[in-house]
Amino acid sequence: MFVFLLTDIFFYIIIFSIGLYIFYVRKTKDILETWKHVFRSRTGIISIVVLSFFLLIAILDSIHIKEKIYNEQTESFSYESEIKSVLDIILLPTYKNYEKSYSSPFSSNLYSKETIILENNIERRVYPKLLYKGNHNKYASDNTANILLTFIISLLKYFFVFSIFYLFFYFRIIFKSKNNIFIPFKLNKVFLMTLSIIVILSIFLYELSLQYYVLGTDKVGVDVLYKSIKSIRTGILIGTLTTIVMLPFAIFLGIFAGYIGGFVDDVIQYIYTTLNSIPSVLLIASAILMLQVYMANNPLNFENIYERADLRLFFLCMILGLTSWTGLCRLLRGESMKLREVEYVQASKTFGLNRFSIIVRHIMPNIMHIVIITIVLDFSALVLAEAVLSYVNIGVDPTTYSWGNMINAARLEMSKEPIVWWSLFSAFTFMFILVLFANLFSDVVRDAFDPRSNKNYE
Amino acid sequence: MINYIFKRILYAIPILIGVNLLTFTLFFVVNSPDEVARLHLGNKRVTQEQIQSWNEQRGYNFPLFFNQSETGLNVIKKTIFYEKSVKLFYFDFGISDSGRDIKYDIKQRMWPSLAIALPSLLVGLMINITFALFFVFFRATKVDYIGVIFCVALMSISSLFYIIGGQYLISKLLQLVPISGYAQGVDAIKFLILPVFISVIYGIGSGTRWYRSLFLEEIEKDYVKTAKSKGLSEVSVLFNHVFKNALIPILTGVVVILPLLFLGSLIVESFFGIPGLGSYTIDAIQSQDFAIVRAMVFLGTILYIFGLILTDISYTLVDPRVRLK
Amino acid sequence: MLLTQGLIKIMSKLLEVKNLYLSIESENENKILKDINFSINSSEILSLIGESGSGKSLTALSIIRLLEKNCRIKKGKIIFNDTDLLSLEEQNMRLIRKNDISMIFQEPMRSLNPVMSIYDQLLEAYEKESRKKIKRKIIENLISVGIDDASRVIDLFPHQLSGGMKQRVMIAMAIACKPKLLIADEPTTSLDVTIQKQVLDLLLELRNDLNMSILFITHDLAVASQISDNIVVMKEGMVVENSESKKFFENPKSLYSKTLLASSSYNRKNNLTNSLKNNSVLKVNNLKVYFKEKKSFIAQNQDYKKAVDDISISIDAGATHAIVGESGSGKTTIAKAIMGLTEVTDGDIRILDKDILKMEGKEKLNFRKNYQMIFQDPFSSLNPRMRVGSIIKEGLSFLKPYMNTVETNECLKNVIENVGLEESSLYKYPHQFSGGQRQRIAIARVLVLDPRLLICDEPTSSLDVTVQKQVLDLLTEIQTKNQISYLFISHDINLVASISDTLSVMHQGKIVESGKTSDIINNTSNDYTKKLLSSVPQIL
Repeated sequence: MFVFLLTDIFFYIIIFSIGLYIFYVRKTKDILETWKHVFRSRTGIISIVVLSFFLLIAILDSIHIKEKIYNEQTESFSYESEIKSVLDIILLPTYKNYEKSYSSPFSSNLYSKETIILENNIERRVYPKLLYKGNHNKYASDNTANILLTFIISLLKYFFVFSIFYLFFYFRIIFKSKNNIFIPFKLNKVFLMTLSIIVILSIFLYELSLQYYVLGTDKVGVDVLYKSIKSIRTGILIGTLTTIVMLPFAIFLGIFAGYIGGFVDDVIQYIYTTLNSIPSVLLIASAILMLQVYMANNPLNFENIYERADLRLFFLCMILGLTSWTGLCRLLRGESMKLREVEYVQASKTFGLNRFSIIVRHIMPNIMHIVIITIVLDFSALVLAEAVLSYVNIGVDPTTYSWGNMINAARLEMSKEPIVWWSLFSAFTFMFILVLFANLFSDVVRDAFDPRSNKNYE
Repeated sequence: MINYIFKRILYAIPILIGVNLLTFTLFFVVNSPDEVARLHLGNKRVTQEQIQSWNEQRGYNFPLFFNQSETGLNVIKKTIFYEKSVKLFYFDFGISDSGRDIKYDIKQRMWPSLAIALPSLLVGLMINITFALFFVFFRATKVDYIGVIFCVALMSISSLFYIIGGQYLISKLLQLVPISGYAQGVDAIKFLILPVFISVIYGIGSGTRWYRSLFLEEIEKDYVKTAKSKGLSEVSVLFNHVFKNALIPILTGVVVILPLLFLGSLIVESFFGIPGLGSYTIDAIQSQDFAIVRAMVFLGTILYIFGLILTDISYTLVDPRVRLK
Repeated sequence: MLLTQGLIKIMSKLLEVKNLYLSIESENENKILKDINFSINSSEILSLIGESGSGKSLTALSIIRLLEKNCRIKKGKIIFNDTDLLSLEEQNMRLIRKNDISMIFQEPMRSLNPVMSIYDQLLEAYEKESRKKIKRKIIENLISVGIDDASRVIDLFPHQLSGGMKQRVMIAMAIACKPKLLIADEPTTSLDVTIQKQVLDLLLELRNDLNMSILFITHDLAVASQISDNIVVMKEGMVVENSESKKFFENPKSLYSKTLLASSSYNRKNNLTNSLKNNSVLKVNNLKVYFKEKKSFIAQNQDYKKAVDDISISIDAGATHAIVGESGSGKTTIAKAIMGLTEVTDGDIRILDKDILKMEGKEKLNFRKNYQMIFQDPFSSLNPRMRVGSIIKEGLSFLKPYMNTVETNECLKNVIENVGLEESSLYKYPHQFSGGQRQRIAIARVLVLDPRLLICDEPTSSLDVTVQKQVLDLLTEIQTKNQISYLFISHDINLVASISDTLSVMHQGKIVESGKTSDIINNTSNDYTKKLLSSVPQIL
């Protein structure tokens, strides 16, 4: 049975809007031209492919289901209380079993010694062997050789998949026209290279995960790699949902203030100056603290912890959104004020267009580039902010998988002797990759969309 | 000028009132004081008496807006709104939920905050501007290209990483400075070096990139061509013309955050155990001491508005085109 | 005799541009300059004439070597005083810029550093010397460019000076080093005619005093004829003509020069038939438009800026009335007041005998199609995000909502052909058209409504001369065909003289003179009009 969490629904809406936007761009020639700028740059393509991959994981992780179980006592079917995502089902073989406690990457033993009692009642302090992974090399007993072989096998698998796709395209094109046989190869080298690397790496990691804890295990023995991957959804959700929440406010208030001016402008300016005056961390902290109190005192009827954590994530996005619309609103207000005096708006006034039509026909399309730039710029900042907020205990629910929670937990691990570094390392690495490519992407997008960008020097 | 400042201060009042009403709504209307007390006392099996006494100790035992049981001015004065919100305007921050005098704490803790924030800002500013000028001098070359990529990479690393990594590398492995803590007077320096260093490193990516784009925007302007046609060298064009013009947005961007430096940096202070306002705020958030959070919100707002006024004044000092009206 | 003359010429050659080729680095590397050749003798003024995009500014920038980084000189030599500038080290080139070649630019507002005082900026142009000496020199210099209160001006900042003053400061800066060559890139284009004349006179005077050569870049043939000894005409990156000024204006050799000359003096092909007169289309009575000045915080009285002060105009059917005036005279405000784009303080505006200020709601919406406006800048008057078809259709769908789709499409087809564009243009975006074509689209947009009155606010001033002529031809053609009245607003009294039937001269919000165009042009009694007329450069 499919389960729709609140954030899932919003996430679907976001995906749907992205699809709608792509459809709109394809039909609108001049915006298409601008986007082609993005696709022409090497950085642009690479970052789009990487981000799409992250997005794909987030989407897979946002389709939730409950599994049917057969209860033998009552002889009836019922649903498990645990909610799983499609991603969980795909990754199930890699994470289904828990170890006892910490173990370092690729290790075959636990990280700390334990006392075991041998048959002849002698106590011994040893590093116990891991139960499920690390001792199950598939291809060779030596670890290095095994990893190498795994890699080669992943490569072979990739080439197998690739050639199937290639043949598919090849035949499809042969039947269509005889001239463009080699289109798949012409299909942008950079794109193919990036895609190939990502696919090879994914296959490789999957294969490895069946045999090792690639990034070790955490305190309760959960695979850290799995935790890091599960955190992708949280990061992406915070980066996108927040923006979606604030967009309507920013756009409508910004345009109204700028275009209509006068009293409306004064009121809107007052609202955003007031909100802007409060240091944002404090505003977010206050709102979330109050939410915590509210949720503690009013135990809403949640079916389970998943929904509760999900609601908290949703509210976090709402609060972040409500505190971050002011910047965009101010930008849009300024731009609308400028556009109000531009001659094509004046010309439309002489045709008797009312305010509403002018805003829809002339103002909106000409401020959209600012909105696009803001969305991509804010994304990376929000992903980073999540970690900091979780550290201050005002982030997502402690039971939600997130990089912030991983780092927060790892603070204690860092002071252990010898230190447990892999949780921290994996959280940072995953976050770094996502944020880096988001930043690179936003750079390219800004260059393409911002008329003022320093094109000569990029 | 004085006229203008007076006007700006008048303009700040409605904003402060707005902020005040907002925080009041958040802290007292969304959840009643009783509910907050219940949370602090632990949810289960709390008697009404316990809640009552908890509230009384902290002055939450009044009605929100009107006290019917009092007479005269006290109808308004003996209320939560007056006690907890209006009094902030007299800088009377009251006592924290744990019973400490907030005003005293703030006075004690703002100096350590400043001791970290100010050097971080100044050193960071110098380093970022130097890097930015360097990249601009080599604009449209490999040096610039690699520099920008490097900046983007630095920007993409979480601030937490810089702190944890820096602490581990410098304090734990190299054992150059103590890992955390604070001391009074000159001794403080050895505790301050690492946090300042880390704050600076953290700011390099975004700072350099931002200043670089400011410089590039100026360098495209026509007066640069005029300057070059006078026979000035690339370096003197960069310093005498481009730098001077770009300094206006840089300087005003710095001035606006100057007052906010007192608030300190939340995470840095808490990681390094610096007894500043940043760690004060974090502790308050983590222990859910709402009286302190309220005070900090109000203080932050005042400092921000003060920063805005300072910015306007600094504009008139550095930009001859701006006159205050 | 002939031989010695030739010898003198060769010896006094100051600058010689030889086979210059230049290209801009991009995906399709086109040559922007192709085989440029010309030379300037000492104390000679050479005008480089051409329309936008002809490469004249790039040529100038190659000489002083201030090209953008993406420009590459592919071939050629620029010989100045026997040295090839292109092969000089940057260091030595800097010395040349400091001592021998100076340049002034089109926009004095943007060419001066806004945060440095005039003194500081001038200072950079001088060799290091004692403070006192330099200050004296600077003041002398400023006085020599016609700034009389120089000792006050040196402490000011650029924004405190008027456009003409700024250009004078620029000139002072350029001649500070007593250069042998001054490159002036459209130095008067952004100035009003009266100021333009002063600046041109100043340049001529300085040439004689300092014995310097001037490379004068302009698009305006009349200005060029006033100032130059020699003329070089450029088109699409090539030199098409190079001759003495006198010969050029008497008898241009190349076909392109002929079209240029023909375009720069515009004559309306046909005059009005008198039968249609005495049928007023627009009547403006005592129009006043005041803008509130920003009140200071404690001031009691509200100050007003009188943009338009008590003005009356009347236009007959099918006639053209022109309003001429310098920038800030309030002429555009009249247009905006009529179109309802700005609040009218007092007075009434009657179109086809109906008071449009008293009209409201539906009635006004229905009536709007009778009067329309064409804006100055065809680049900002068309929404870049809309297709040409939708742009033209916009007016129709709001002002003639009763039309069905078939009729509308028919209308669009007709009108786009009427303004001389192809039907396929309807599906393109504005950025795919040139300035002249865009102005045609703007005309089509109003023409489709079949208005009785068309207000043209400087419709040609941002266009090249040849395109200007085409647009004006189109406007007259439309006028005769559809019997539309024009209110033509312009700063160019030459143009106005040839296109209008009646004329008002505006100055500081007031009409100083009004009447038949021919009367005013030929024998005006008004001082301001006289000044305007005498300032306008004529082709000699």
